Amino acid sequence: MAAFPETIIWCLCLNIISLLLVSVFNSNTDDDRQLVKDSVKGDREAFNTLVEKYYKKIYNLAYRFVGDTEEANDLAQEIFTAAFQNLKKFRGDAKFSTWLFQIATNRGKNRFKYLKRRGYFANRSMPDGDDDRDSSQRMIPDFSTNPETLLAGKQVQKIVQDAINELDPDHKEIVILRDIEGFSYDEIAQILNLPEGTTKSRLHRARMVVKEKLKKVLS
Amino acid sequence: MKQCEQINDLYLELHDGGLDQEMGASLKSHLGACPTCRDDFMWYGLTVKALSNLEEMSPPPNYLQQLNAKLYPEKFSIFDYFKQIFTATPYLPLPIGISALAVVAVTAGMLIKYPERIFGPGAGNQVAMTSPAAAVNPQMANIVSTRAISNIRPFPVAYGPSAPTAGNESGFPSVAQMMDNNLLVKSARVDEAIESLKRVLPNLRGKLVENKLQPTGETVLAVSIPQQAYAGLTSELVNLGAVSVRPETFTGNNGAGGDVLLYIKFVR
Repeated sequence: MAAFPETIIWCLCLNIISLLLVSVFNSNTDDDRQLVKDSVKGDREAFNTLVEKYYKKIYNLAYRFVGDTEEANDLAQEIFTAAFQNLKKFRGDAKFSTWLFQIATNRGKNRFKYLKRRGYFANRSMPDGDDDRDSSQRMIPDFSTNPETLLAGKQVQKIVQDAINELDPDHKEIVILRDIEGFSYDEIAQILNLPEGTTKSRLHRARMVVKEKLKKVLS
Repeated sequence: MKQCEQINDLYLELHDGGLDQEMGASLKSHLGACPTCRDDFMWYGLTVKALSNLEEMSPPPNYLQQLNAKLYPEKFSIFDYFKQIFTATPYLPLPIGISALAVVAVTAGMLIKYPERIFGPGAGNQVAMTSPAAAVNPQMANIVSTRAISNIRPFPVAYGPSAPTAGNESGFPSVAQMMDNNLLVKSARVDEAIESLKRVLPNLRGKLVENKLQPTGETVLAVSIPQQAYAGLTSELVNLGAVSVRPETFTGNNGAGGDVLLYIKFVR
């Protein structure tokens, strides 16, 4: 009987410790939450900190969507402006980065569709004809070199970007998030609100399309 | 061939290492035996590598400044404007800035000291009191004086229709002058001046005969007062700081039954 209160006290202690650990863990999972709260209260510095943390990734994502520096600059600014204006709507259910990339992907997709409708990519992408394939091959200095070196070349980068530009928006966003930005399937599922199976099958199809383009130009 | 197509669908799982051991071994065995699938899978791997090896694009150096300007557009501030004027570059050189300020100061001084010279005699709310003589000819009532009250002093003399002519030696303006230059009195507001006048009239047994708003925006009042009350009216008005009238301006009987009609014009 004497051990009974002692057991309860131990249990309570363990509970308190576990609660503390959970709270510490939670605070580590989204460092941005406090910054978001401060930004909503009008703290410019807090929002600037968030911008500084993500602007390079957002700019890169924007560039991969539109394939042009000027357009990417404009799009990335639009993304941050939209985030700033909608910050009050951020409920904190997901991480701030997930929410921000959700905005970025939506805006990127919309901008891509808009530019495509206006024929923006028609004059920029690499044509598919055989004659043009020869000219593309001429651009590549030495195909027999190490594939990794070859892939790092500017020309190959351009070919890959052109191949991305030709993907349809649903495939494009997944390739950008997974293969370029390096998000996990779980994060992509949250950002795009898609089941993991759909994400994987779209990614596979997108990779196959890009693979065929690369194979056609480089082999 | 069918097996090749099935394997094709498993590239992603195979590349990501998401297949179970048995399936993985089976696939690897097929890839070892089928050069087409092996080559295709090699290209699949190269594609994923090419995508993940894409150079990270850097934003322009002034990206954050541009974004800040968009997020927090600066509000126009008169203080900043002047600050910019006195900045040597890029707006105005300092001497031009100082000269501009001097011009502004001189102009402001002129406006304060000589408002009528800048804006003309019609500036502000003014009460133009026409002389009784002007009542003879209604056209006279429309004459706007060129004199402002600041240039007129109330005349400390006896008033009334029978008062003797004072003459120019006393410093009073002549009748001709008075007719040409109807007296002007400045008042802060037209309605206040009219109300003051109404308060004065009952004591003088005078009354407001007509209150007419001219198309030009001027208000003309016709005030009927007994001849003998004229001096009283003028002295009352003078006491109110409103008007000064010279006795000679009241000549003859211009009203009915010994009354005179006095036209008072309010000019905005």
